Amino acid sequence: MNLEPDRRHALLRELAETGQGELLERLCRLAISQIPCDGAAVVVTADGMPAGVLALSGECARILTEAEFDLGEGPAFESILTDRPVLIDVLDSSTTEAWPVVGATLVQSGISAISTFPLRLGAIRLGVVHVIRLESGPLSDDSFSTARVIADLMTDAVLFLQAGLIDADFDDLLSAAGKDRLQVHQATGMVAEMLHCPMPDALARMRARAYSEGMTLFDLATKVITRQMLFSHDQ
Amino acid sequence: MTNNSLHLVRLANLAAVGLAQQSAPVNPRNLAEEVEAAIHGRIAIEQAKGMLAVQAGVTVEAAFELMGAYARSNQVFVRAVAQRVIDREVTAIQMQ
Repeated sequence: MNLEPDRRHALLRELAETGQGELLERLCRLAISQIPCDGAAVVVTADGMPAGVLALSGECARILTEAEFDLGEGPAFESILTDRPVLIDVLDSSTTEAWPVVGATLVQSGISAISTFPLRLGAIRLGVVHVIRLESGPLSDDSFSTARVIADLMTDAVLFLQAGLIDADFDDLLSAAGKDRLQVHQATGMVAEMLHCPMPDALARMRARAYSEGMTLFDLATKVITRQMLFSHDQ
Repeated sequence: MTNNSLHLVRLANLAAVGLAQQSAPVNPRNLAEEVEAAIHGRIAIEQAKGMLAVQAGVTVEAAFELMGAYARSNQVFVRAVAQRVIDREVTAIQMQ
């Protein structure tokens, strides 16, 4: 934390120009204008997995975070698992071998490069920030440094949020950035009860069925909640 | 500067101090641990709603009311009840 104080101060001055709105979302807009990039998203972890989106800016950030949540794979999972940044300068089948289905979805959506940085404090992992570009190519040294400092500012912002020092809370942010996810978690509980299995297994079953039936995880969750779809051991 | 970014500048300095001296008012390490617990707790409530909805054959909204009433009458946090539901220590039948 607090590496490159000059860069940090310059970015904090620019933050004032990002207008109204919630702080984490403004930090995403700051990433877009200063790195620069086309989309940015703050993803938080729980139990060693990406668990929710606290803020995002840019349509490509929405596409990436939804694809990762739908399919249960992607750069956030890879970064959290390896505890390292995931830097993909040219998105194609050879650079997305670790998450092929999400990779193909993103390529189809016109996303060409992704840099995913861990948000961490010492040994504790809070989540990741995605920096998404529509043009392929590596981040310049300067952009890379800017992205690292913005990741630090986002880490601080998440901590201040927890400390109650920012006028927002996790519930509101999780609902705003991904209202549908709460319904997916409700449906996961329902499926876990139907199958008498642990939550991660229930979610994996839901993801597999949504994928095989060509629907989004959210649409499947809606069907489960409205009792139009059941799960049983024979399936 | 808006309130939020003033907040951030001031608190960034506080956090830096907190890292240098263990006795500082802001302890980022504790906060970082709390963040994961907060996210985990939020998800656990939604999952527990779903489990109870199936157990009791009710909507998820009704399941949440069931959990809330149980939390109030036992004077515990809803998050704690949710975790007990997930761990199968308490079921909808015991809550009704």
